[in-house]
Amino acid sequence: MSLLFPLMAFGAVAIGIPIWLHLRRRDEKDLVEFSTLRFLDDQPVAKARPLWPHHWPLLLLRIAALLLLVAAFAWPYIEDDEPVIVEESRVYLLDNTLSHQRESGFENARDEIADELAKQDLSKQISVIELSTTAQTLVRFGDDPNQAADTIRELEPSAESGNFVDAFRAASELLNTSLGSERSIILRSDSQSNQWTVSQNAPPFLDADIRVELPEVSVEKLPGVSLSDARSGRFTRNGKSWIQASVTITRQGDPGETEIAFFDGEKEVFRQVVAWNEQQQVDGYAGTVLTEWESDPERWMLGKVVVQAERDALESDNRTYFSLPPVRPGKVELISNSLFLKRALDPTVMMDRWDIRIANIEETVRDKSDLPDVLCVDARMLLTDRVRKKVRDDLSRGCGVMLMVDESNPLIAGFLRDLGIDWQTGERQQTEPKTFRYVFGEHPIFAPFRSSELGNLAEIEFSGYRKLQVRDAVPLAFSASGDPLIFEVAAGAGRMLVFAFSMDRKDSNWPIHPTFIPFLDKTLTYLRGQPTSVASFEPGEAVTWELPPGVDAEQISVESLNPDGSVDSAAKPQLVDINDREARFRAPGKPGNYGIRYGTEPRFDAVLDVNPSPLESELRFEPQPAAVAAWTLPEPENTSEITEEDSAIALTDAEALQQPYWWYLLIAAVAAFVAESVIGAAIGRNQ
Amino acid sequence: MVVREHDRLIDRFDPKVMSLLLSLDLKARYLVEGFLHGLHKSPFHGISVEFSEYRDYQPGDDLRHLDWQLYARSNRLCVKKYTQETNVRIYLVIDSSGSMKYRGSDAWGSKLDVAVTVAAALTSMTLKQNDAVGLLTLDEGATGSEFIRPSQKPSQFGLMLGHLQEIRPAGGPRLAELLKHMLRLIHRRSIVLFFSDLLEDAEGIRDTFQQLKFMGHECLIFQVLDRDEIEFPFDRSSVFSDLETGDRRNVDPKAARENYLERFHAFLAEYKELFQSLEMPHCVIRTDQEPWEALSLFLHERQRMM
Repeated sequence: MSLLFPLMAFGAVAIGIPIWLHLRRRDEKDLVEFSTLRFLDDQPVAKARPLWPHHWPLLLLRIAALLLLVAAFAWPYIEDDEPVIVEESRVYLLDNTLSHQRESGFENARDEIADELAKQDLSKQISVIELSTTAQTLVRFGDDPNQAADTIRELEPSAESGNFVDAFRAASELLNTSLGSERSIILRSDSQSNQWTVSQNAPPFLDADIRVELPEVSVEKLPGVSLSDARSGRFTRNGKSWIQASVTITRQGDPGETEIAFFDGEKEVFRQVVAWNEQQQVDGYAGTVLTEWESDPERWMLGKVVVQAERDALESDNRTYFSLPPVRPGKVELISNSLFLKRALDPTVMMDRWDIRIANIEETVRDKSDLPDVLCVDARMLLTDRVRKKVRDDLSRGCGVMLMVDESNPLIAGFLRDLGIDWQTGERQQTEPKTFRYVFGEHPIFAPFRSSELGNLAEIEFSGYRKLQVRDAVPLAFSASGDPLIFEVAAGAGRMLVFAFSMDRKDSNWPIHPTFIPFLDKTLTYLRGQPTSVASFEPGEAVTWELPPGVDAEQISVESLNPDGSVDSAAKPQLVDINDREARFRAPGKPGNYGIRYGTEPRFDAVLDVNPSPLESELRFEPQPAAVAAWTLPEPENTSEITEEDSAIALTDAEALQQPYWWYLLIAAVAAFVAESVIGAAIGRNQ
Repeated sequence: MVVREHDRLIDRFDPKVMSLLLSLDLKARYLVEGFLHGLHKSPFHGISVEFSEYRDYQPGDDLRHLDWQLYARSNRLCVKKYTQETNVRIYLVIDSSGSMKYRGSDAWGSKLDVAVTVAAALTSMTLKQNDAVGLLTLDEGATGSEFIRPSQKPSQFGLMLGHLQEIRPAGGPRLAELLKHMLRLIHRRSIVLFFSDLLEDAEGIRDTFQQLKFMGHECLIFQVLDRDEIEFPFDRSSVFSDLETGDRRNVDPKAARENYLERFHAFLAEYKELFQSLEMPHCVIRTDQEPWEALSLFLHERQRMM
């Protein structure tokens, strides 16, 4: 042990302080301030005694506490007799995305890093960052090498997708607190092009002296086929339930002979050899394969599409999963004079989807077995006391309500005010036909319309609406003049959507627009508490799962499903707590169908489809990415050489805090102070 | 007479009550009221204003002084004439040296507290008998003096109390310096009530007291001492630190007591002899006992001077 820092000497001098304090305190304790000292003589015998320590344990504890504190704070500057100089600090970035599974790329890289960790000597610091959806530091500098090697060996390949910038940033931060004079980042990846280009324009953050070792890329492009965008739906033909499903198949390079198969559970329902015609034999061509089959409407359909190609370089992306819930037609009670609503909800239009019931407003008692899932009501019907009661009752029991405000009346205004809706002006706003100014595209009733398959909402024109002011509501669509046209009101256990217009031609052209029936279907589905679009996520993607109305649970369970719909008992279920009726979790890392259960019953309540990102199927690789140069900071002008001595004393606060000895010394010092206080108090009591 | 009255007054003073009173005003009232209630005959009767003779009323005379009863009897308008007694000036001189800070375990206040309280009580009494009272003490920094001119206005009591409360013990021996200020500031013949523990050499201040006597001042010496100083009751070996100089001495009280008491009483005797030779009344006020003797001494001397 040698002194490398002058403050260490000052610390050692401080050891004398407790001795002085000890003697001083003893002296002060028996001090008598007196006025007639002139009549007293000094007595030399008493003079020597106070200078001798009286309480040895206290003195020793005080010295020990001070010594320990000095040692603890001098620790970063203490060097062993044979100092170990850290020469190199190295961060491995282990790519654990789907594309790196090709030719066991991930497994090979994982084992190589684990071996490197196991034989790590003290002259080298190694840290490992796993790159998947997020960059996660698995091994930090200073972790036990053997334990770290075991951690790395236990890693499983994932089907997640991710880009490099977050991993490089995390590596840069680690290296900023490293000891080695040589700093390097070693990438173990297939160096997929899109992983670099996605964030190529990120501002520079890498120090110029950090060496980046990139993987060797032998080929820039590989052939392959991949599947994406699986869609499905039920329809009824000749009184039988059928399923129509489609999937997008993308080719890259020349994959050779390709065969595609659709499965409903374990049963193969369609198989076809894809005959690429001359126009389709281009790189990146994406085509749709569509098929239909008869299916049992009473059970969940867990579907899978598998593609096989002669020269496909990556097999992990050759399957995609989809699902359909059993047919359970919803019940709609209509209390509206709108002929368009009645027609749209007619059984010939909404077969197997919605059972319409035209309400009798005179009825006083409702059949409890026939209560609706959704209530569609015109505001003018609220003049009747029974209708108002129905709306209140249905909302409180979790039923959805779709309210079209088509009339202004003090009685209606009073009822709506109770729900948090105020009239801004009672009169109907007559305008030139104008389209929506803005719709909340993320909302489930509008999200399906982001693609043009279901029609274009921008073509709808409004000529009249009621100007409403709503407290505690979320506006979902606005008129051209900025007034809210549709909003969601929190008025009970059920969901409620308020439309500031009627579903008649006098207010808009929507009832005759192609989007009307799909929109009505999605709106009713949302009000019923069911998802309006396919619940498909990428592996590792953040999921926010909202509890449907009427369901009360503290936890949901996410379980892997077998093709026959049974729970895969080998896989561990993921339990997620519910906060504010929402469960937030990461989608499972492995593609497949996953059942979601709200309660303890064996049947699952919903299905989550997990499919890999299409980005992982792009088998283009970058041997010399421009991103690394773009991320690197310019070299500073005055770079001083890091000497061996600097390396020894340049222990940062963070590293000093990570050393167990530092903590042992500090805790021992505190313990000594505590003991000193206890003993001192005991001595004081005895005296 | 003084001794007999003093015996009865002991019951009217409780050191514990005195130590609990925080306000100097209350302390002074407690002291004066307790003292006056114990006397059979108040010495204050007739010493302020006395009737002298009648004279005929003349326009401009204050109607309040007309004797209306005489007018009723004789139909004459006569005005009463009074003889105002000659009031004296009284100076309270208080020593605030560091040794006055000492407070023994049985005392109801430090020596300075006791001096200030007795001074406040005497202020109250002198103002009631229309005497003018003033104050002289050294300021805290020992660079100058605090001086209040004598006055007999009722408001003088508040002013005096305010200054008395502000006196803080500090510094080393200051008696000689205080006496110099006395000589400089007090010119007319006055009564000087001198409060001090007198813990300085008597020889050093003998000349100054003689000079005061020569100038015609009547000096009353109130020597304030603590029981610890008079009896030295300590029994545990300790380090004794001087309040004025900060000097320290290791003392075994058992061994040092006899020697101490001998020296201390010799010191007291020296001062007693000095004041006897100068014909200056001198009394010791103990901080653990009632101060009636001091008050009695003052009244006795005041009556003697009339």
